[in-house]
Amino acid sequence: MTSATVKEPMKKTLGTHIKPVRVMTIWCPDWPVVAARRVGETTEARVAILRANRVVAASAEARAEGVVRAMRRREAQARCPDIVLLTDDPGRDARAFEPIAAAIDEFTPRSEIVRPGLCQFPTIGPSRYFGGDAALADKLTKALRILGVEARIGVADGPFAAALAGRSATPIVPPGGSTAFLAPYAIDSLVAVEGGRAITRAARTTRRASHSSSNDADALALIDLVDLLKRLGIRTLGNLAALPLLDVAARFGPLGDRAWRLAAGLDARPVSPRKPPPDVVVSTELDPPVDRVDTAAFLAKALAEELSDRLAMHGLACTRISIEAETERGDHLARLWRHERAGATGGLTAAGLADRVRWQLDGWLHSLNKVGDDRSEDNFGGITVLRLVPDEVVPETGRQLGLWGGAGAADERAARAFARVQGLVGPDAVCTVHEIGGRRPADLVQLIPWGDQRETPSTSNQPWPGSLPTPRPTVVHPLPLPAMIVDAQGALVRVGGRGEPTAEPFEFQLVVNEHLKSQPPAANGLNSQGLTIHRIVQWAGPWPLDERWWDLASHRRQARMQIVTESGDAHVVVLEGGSWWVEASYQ
Amino acid sequence: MEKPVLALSELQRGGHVQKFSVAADQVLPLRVDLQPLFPHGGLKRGTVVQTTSSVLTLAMLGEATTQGSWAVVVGSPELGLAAAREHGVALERLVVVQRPPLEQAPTVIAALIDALDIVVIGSRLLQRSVDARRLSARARERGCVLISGGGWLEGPDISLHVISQTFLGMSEGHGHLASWTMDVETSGRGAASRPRRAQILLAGAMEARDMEAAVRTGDDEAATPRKEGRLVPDRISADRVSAERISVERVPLERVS
Repeated sequence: MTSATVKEPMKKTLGTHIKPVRVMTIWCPDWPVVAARRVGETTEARVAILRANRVVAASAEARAEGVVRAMRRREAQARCPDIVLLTDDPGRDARAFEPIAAAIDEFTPRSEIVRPGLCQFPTIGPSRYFGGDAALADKLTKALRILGVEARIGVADGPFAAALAGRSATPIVPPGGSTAFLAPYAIDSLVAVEGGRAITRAARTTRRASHSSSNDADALALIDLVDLLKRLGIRTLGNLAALPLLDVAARFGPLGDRAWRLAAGLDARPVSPRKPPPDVVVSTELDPPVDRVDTAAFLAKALAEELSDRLAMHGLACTRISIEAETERGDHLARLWRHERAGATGGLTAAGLADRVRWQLDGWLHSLNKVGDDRSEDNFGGITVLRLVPDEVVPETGRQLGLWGGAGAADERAARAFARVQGLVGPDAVCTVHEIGGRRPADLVQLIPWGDQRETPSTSNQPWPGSLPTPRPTVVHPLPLPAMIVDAQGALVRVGGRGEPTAEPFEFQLVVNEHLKSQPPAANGLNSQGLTIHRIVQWAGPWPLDERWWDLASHRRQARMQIVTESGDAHVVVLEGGSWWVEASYQ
Repeated sequence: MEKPVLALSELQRGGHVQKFSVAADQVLPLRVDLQPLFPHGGLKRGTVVQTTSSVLTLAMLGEATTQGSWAVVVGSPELGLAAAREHGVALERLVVVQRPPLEQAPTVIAALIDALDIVVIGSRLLQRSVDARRLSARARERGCVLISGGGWLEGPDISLHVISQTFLGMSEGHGHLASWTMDVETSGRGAASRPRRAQILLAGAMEARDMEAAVRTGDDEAATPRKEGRLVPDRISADRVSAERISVERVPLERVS
């Protein structure tokens, strides 16, 4: 075989492109805001949704005041003082989207949710049935308007072009016209459409520093690529598509290859997805039936992990998943979810799968059961069977584990053990420790259930005037222990309005726990009233603390002291409401 | 500088390599000033350590978690986790199970022993000595270090007792607690039966970081705080530092290449 004959077919496979499927996308702008309104969390006009202190979505009214994505909370409030700020909740978005997804199901059985607020389906069947793309789009718009949703509908060859068409003045791009349609668009539209939940430049530095998920990493890589292309003088999609694919792929790797395919109006994925082997379907029977979201979510997590393990055995990753459920009443529910950036870096991770399953179950259990609250025949009860069917798979390009197992193996082993314990005791039992800011010892850490990805901005490195300096106490009593600080005459020490003690602290009396009382009094210095009494040899303070005075319910006013007793124990004691408590100890 | 090249046969005999790597594998690392308390200069895998002192517990977790070991704290809701980072604990590898139901505690601990390097068990969590015996056997088999918060019913391999504590930085109404020192003595069985003593300085975040940085760079002078009135950690630690440095560098293999 000569080299020429080898080269020829290779060129051909790289050169031939699968004709993209004609796709309709339904995009609801500012979905997080719309969802919050639909769920009834707010009725205000000026609303913004925040994640990690940045605006991820804003209502049109708020945008008119100058609130834009990736803006800081403070800036948003400065531009629009009466804005209502809500925290980002993907679960809420998904729950509110369920009725819309159900409405779209009336038109096609093959709709896929890309993310809450964005849905797509191949038009080939429905278009013919309803009399063309325009008629279908018209009917769908009307159906959604009945539900009170304003949606932008776009039709084109390939989902990328369709998404852009939905935002443009010409929502229906004629067949074969995608390349010409895309050419004048700025190269930034790659990020705008593919970037999903907006990770913009401003937010980037903070995201990099924090622990970012693989999805975010994809988006960041794309932003970098677009940046580079612009600097190289490639400013429109047409410019990029005009370059030879082989050169783009050679220079920019798989991501460049993908960007080129999108710009040229082709499918992002070069190969047609393989049919999954039949045994990768995972299902579980739920007995008793599950009607609570948290229980279902926990099962979903285990199931998602099982599925991704099985797929990994076949060297596959899932890019589109069908979540199916059967209910007590005998309904079969099914919904397709597509990986947002399918083809970028393999498919959904186990955590990503579990998220989608949780959102979907949340949606079904909430929106459908709510309708039938008083009419029991409409209430489909709990879910009895849950099934995950990988609908579309791609070869897993995956991550590389350490050669000798290494840290990766230990982490995985630990994660499995934690999941096991969660199964034994409950999902909230196993917690990770997050440092947050606070003034009192008990406020300094937050426990977050293992596996929960909650983004709490850490405030621990900010100054907390009034907090105790380090070293921090190593014992924080879950319930403060009642105690007394008395002066040499035996009178209770108090703290005056100017933060001065009424007398020099002399003795520390601790009311003893039940289990210590059973021991002979001599063993621990108990006197007849069940108190341990120790002389105070060192003390510092008192320091007043007046916290949250603007809020009556959580307002606290106390004075704190550090004391060391002659027995060699050190405590943080607190005077609050006229009595002393041991809040924390150093031991 | 000429470095001696080892013969292949010498390498295969393995004298040089084994001495360090096997020990390193069996012993979880400890911070420098705690090392003299333990017979192997670290937490030997499969042993049970007992201490009623929360700060010693955190201090023992510090070095191991930073070097990739996972640790879990079971049934010890009063442990001041906010202080963990001060004592060098890598919070991303620390997990807590606050209050497991008492009847399920042995099962939960067993599951954790199978997968993790260090399991801290709160006092009063285990009710029956048969559970304690089973769990220590399991830990020995799996190479997990159990740290018991007191009341280990089976006789721990090594116990740390706080003999005395001195708190520095405050007097009558002035200053604030800045650091504290502890005299710690051990008792135990086997290799740990000979009592060992050490003085440990527990400092706030700032001082701890300085000390740590000094130990990293091998600067023995800086590793011991020089401030007047502050007690100096055990001098043995200085020798330990140099011993540590040798094992980290893995000298014999480097020389060959």
